[in-house]
Amino acid sequence: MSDLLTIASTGVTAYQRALATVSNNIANVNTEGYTRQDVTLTANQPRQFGTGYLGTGTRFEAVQRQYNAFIEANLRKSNSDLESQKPLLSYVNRLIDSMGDESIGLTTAMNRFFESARDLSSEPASVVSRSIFLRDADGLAARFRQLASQFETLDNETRQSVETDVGQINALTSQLALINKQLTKHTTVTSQPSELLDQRDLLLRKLSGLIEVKTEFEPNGTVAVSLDQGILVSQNKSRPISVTTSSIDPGKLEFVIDAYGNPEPIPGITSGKIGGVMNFREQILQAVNDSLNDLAATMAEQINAVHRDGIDAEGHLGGNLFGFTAGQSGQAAGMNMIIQDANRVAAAGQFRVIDDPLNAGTAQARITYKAASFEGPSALLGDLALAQIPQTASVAVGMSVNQPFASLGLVALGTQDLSLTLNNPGEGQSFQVLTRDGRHLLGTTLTAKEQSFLMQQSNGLEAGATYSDSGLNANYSATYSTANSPTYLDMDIFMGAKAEVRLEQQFDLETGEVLAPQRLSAVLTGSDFSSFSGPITANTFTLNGRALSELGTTGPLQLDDIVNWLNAQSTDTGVTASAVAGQLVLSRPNTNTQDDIRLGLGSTGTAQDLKKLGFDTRISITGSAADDLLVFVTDRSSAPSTALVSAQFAGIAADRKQSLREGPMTVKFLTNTTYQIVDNTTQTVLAERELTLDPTSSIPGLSYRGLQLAFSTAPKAGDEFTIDSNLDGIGNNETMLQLVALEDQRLMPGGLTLTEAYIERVNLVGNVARQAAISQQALEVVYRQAKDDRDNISGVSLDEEASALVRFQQAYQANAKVMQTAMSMFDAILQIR
Amino acid sequence: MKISTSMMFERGTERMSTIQNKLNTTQAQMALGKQILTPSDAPDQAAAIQRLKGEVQRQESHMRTMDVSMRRYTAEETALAASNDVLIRLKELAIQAATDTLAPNDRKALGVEMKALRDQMLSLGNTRDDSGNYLFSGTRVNTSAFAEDATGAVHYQGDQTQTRIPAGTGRTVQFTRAGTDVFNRVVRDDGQPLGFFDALDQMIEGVNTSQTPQIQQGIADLTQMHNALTLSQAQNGSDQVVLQSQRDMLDETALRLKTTLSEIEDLDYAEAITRMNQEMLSLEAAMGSFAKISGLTLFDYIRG
Repeated sequence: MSDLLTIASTGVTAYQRALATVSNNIANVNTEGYTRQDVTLTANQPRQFGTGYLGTGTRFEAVQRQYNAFIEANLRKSNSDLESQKPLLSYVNRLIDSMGDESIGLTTAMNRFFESARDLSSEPASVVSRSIFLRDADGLAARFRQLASQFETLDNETRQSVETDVGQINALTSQLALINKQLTKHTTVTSQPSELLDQRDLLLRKLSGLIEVKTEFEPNGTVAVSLDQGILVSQNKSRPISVTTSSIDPGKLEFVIDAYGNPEPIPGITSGKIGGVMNFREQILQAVNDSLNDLAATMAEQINAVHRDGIDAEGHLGGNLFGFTAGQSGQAAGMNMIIQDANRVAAAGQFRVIDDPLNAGTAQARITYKAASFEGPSALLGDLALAQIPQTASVAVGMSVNQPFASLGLVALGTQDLSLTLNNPGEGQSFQVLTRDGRHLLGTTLTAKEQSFLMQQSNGLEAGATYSDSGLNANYSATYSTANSPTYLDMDIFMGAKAEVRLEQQFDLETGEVLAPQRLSAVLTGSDFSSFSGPITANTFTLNGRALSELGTTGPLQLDDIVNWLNAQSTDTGVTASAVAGQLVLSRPNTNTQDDIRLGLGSTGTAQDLKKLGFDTRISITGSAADDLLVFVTDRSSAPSTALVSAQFAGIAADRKQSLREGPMTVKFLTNTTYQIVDNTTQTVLAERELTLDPTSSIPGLSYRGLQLAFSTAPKAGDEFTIDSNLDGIGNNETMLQLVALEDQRLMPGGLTLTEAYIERVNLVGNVARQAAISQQALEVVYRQAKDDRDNISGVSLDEEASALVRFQQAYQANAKVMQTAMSMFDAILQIR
Repeated sequence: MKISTSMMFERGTERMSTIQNKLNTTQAQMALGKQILTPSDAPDQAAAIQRLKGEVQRQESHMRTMDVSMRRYTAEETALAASNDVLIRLKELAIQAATDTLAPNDRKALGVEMKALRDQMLSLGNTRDDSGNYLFSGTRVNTSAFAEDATGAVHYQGDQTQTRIPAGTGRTVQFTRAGTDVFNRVVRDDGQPLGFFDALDQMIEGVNTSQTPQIQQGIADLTQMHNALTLSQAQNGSDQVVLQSQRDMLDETALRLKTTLSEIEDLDYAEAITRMNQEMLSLEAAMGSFAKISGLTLFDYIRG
């Protein structure tokens, strides 16, 4: 009888709890991470009555979390993926907005720069155009800096974002460790409080948004969290991640787990929000920044090269237009403009040709410069090229009967204080020094055969060079004026034996300070003299520019004979001779501390003659070589021989192009086709050639050391064209035209122009942005699907709860009614009397 | 499938805000008349837009350069035409002076006018352009082209550098004209060249002193001068034609580029307005339906 009441009371109790669960669901309808709970009711053990069983009511078995581990894991994964795409897209969008923006991006500034260069080229003399050009050049540099600073802002912002996120990860993992600790109180997951598990899952979901993690659940619900490499949470322990800037590359970020315990570096984070930010930093921002710096460097370098080569409004060579401030993160960040004065803008070319207004012909000349390249040697032969003070070097060259000459290479323009010695010359051996245009400076007049040997393009001569020995072995004197100096380009070049004024170092005896050196008169000392047979014909030697007279004695000549012979001519030569320890010594008076002694070869003298007096033949250039000089040794002995040559020089310093600008030159047409090139300052004839009419081109032209002159038509005899360094041609725009031409030149890797290279970058970033947007849309769909799946199981629907509420309420009421029925049944029994 | 309550609200708001965002963009597009507001709106087009804009900028810059040279050519043309007139008048006077019947005094009277014309010619040679640069000085634009020395002889002070300026991609036109090409020296039968003004001076002297051979020589010289001047005029004219046709071509190119740019960048208003209406309609629908659906709950029907 007990049963009806008992059964009903189990029902009431069970449904009370069921109703509580439903109301808990309703209460948590808006709670983040809440998992819907459901109830399980079970029938009680039936009791046997006779042959049958009677039920004993119901029992509230458990509250169940509506949860699917697989779906939850899926949600975490899709969350990681989506979160990694979001920052990528938003940062890439910001990047392309600044790169492609008209007011920050580079294209406008680059276009404007070239535009004002073009404007300047059409009005090179205008100060206004020059100022505008400077302003736009400054604008270009400023734009590079601005863009670089935009990139730096993005760099800082992303670094801070990563640092904040790492802090959040550490907070989440330590909370997870706490939850794990609480979960250890129970052995099975079913006995765990549902809310605790909800919290665990919520933390994991948040964590997965920041970084993709692997999870492993114990039977009691505790979770182990790890990355691909390295554990973050294990039991009730969590290990923090720390982020530092790389010591090698300060722009790079490095991650380490548990930096202060058991450090474990993380090679790279590729997913979750941090992964997305890192991806942006390393794959995009870094590359874009590098290419911006490359562009800045190339652009400045190319523009500077052209600008340095131009002439400004004041007739000076242009300097660098752009420079870089040191200590900036990259070239772009430190790019600035160096020139501030509009007149310092170099718009003009370095050369100009002026036709004489009274030319009979109508030819107009145009001039261009292209660094010349010659066949043949580019420096002195072999080791001689290395003989820069304090080094000395010597080489031996062989000559044969068939080839009675040897090239000693090239004394390049600008070689300082050269000394080239022919040691112990054999019979018939002699130095020969020629310019590239066949001007014979030192040596003996060449025979027709020798000319055909030496005057070859393969030896370094200009095409069409002609031979000239006027000015051969000319004497240099400082007292000649430049305009009537007999030497080539007024160069102090001498062959023979030479002694300089001696300088003796002086010291202050008390303080030990170095004083100005004392000048002592020049003394030329020969080697041991041995007798040779006379006579010495007139003009075998020259001494200080004077031809020495004949020494008619036939038979052996002794040292004293020579001394007497020389002293007889002292008044002319200014030199006294003496015999000291069997050597010939020539000296200036003690009072003359200005002049050197030069014992040279006259028209009939040879190097061997000089050797007989005890001197080697030496080529010496005081100061610098004013042109490229080709040096040879020739042998007229008709026998094979070897020449030993030693050299020393102070250095080589010259700009070939600038040396052409030093003085104006005139091209004079002697006949309709023969022309001379004359240096106007020294009246030195630099070249005499025939105008070659190139059959492939209708325009006659000539070239001299890289200067190219093109005539509109064939010039006539008597025509003159002056080439000068364009010091006042401020209406000239050649350099600006070259600068403008840079716009279309493919200067950047991949055959791109400067502007194209930048646009290509914008394009690349644009493609990434497009890709990222598409990926984000796709990943959003995946994430939404995963979220739908989770909601389908774990979400709370008020309608569902309402129906459950009604369902449980009705059951509760029915059970209560059963109790009432049992009561009335009991009452009925009580009323039986 | 179950729709959880929170999800229903979340989705509803999400959808409405998406439409609202779209409407906002459409509105901004219409306000600015641009299809692409920021490069990130169409990242794949950003590069193309930049390229096109740069190209348009370049064409316009070319055109500006051409306008500068055109102005210069026009100034040159004026000076050349005036010089031509002066030469013709000089020749008339010289022929008159060569008449045997003329008395020396009459010739002197002619000589006065000829001297004045010669001076006018000198001043024409020193014509400046609108920036104050001498037209016929070559690149020495700050130096007057011709100057008289103490003896009254005229010397050319410019140079002969021929500069060119860019006129369109890969095309240049001549910019400076040397004074000696316009006021060209004469070469007499003996092959001796003589300066333009020197020849004029000799002729005037001949007129003043009634030296008929000198006057006759002067007439021959004038013919040569006239030829050179006419040649310069012809060159100037043909340069102008080249420049004009080049400019027309640039105009056309710039227009084509601008059209392309506009197609990419500018807004099609008809399309935008239709789109906006559509979006407004769907926003209204979304709001209305959401209000209705979210108001619907089973609890309303459970009467306690």
